[in-house]
Amino acid sequence: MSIEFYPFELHTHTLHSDGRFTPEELALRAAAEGLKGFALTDHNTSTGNSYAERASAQHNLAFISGIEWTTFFGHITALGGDFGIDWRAVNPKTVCRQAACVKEAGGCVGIAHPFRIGFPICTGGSDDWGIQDYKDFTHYEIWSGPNPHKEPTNVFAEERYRELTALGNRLACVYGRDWHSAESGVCAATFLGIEGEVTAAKALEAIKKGRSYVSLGIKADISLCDGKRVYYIGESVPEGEYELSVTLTPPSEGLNALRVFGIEGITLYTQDSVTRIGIEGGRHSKKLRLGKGFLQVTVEGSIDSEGARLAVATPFYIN
Amino acid sequence: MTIFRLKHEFTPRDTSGHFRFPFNIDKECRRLTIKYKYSPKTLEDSEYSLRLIDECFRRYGIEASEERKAAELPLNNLITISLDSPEGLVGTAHRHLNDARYEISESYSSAGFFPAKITAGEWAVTLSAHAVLSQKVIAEVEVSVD
Repeated sequence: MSIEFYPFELHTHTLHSDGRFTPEELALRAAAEGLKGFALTDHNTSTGNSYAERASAQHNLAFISGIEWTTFFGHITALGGDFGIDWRAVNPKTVCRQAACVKEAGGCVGIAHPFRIGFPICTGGSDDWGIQDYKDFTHYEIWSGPNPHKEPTNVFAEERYRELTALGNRLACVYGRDWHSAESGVCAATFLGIEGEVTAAKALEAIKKGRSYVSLGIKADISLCDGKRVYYIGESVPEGEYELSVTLTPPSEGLNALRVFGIEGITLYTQDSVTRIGIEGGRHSKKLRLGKGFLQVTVEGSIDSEGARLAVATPFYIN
Repeated sequence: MTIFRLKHEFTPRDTSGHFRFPFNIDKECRRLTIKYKYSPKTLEDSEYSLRLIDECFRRYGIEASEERKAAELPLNNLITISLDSPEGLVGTAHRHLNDARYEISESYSSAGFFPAKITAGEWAVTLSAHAVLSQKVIAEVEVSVD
């Protein structure tokens, strides 16, 4: 069975914290946008999860229970439950231990909007944890908010993500709309690679494995093949020669399907190089010799005639 | 019956602190009600606010137009409230509403709080000062049971 990538929203709020939607309204909107599932991450409470789970079932959505620890030092999304952790106890001294507890309990835990402007505009909004080693975390929100392609802080987050990757961290890149209300603008999704039936458990597994990319709607099939087997994004790959295959498809339904996409090219980031490649017809294959480090693919083009980074994938890790 | 009243003055130095205020419930009750308000909600000095916003954008390395900075006005004070039962955290109301009433009982609780049996023992409210920008912010809590 092959892996398909499906759009999820991993950062949302309801009336159970400071969002405007009921959990039922949120599920309805997620379904209407063509998402396959979403995570509820209300600020410092998980009381909305049971309502959202019931509503999601009615819309055939995979629902991921969650919470956003909204602390003075940064915001963290914990996905897969609330894990019985008191958000008030999450501080720079304890955060890695608390994150490890979430992972040990089978959940995912990641840094939300790491470069959001903080105090006094959004207190605790930026990543001020001072974490050196992100091994206890599963994901990193490289894109945040509506119109992620226009938000300068997302550029900082993407650059920091590559720095962290170069330092040996393995984090799934994710998008968080930080969905509070019916904002206007272009939104993205986190596409998660799932084999077979789409469930919340498989979505969490995809995050843990790094089978993710963020996208304004373009489907990006990215793989490496050494002639014997195919490797997906987020996987460890031995040093050697590979054929990189990239197939990019604008959405025909669901997220941003009515918008006009132009695909110009891809960029390949490795530990020590940046290579831009033009693409015609949405397909590209290239023979590569990969040395130790990482290989990350991003997609550039336009949406509604505005130049934009269209997608960013979790890297391959070259051992 | 009101069992606990609190009036606490916050200053900007209290930002990023949790302030725990315990109280006792003598015998099991059907319902607990919290009335919580704090004031002012916004930092009313717009000149000072713009200075803070300008410093903030600079700190985060973002070039912002005057219009973009003005869009952040008014700046808000934010002090959230949590409730602990003798068994631990019942919930948190993390929202910008600064004059609210929350109910907790075994069968129903306001959004943000889990249903909980109102047992005898030491309970507590915690006020978490996410942002105290005004020179003085007064928070008032009234807890009643029936």
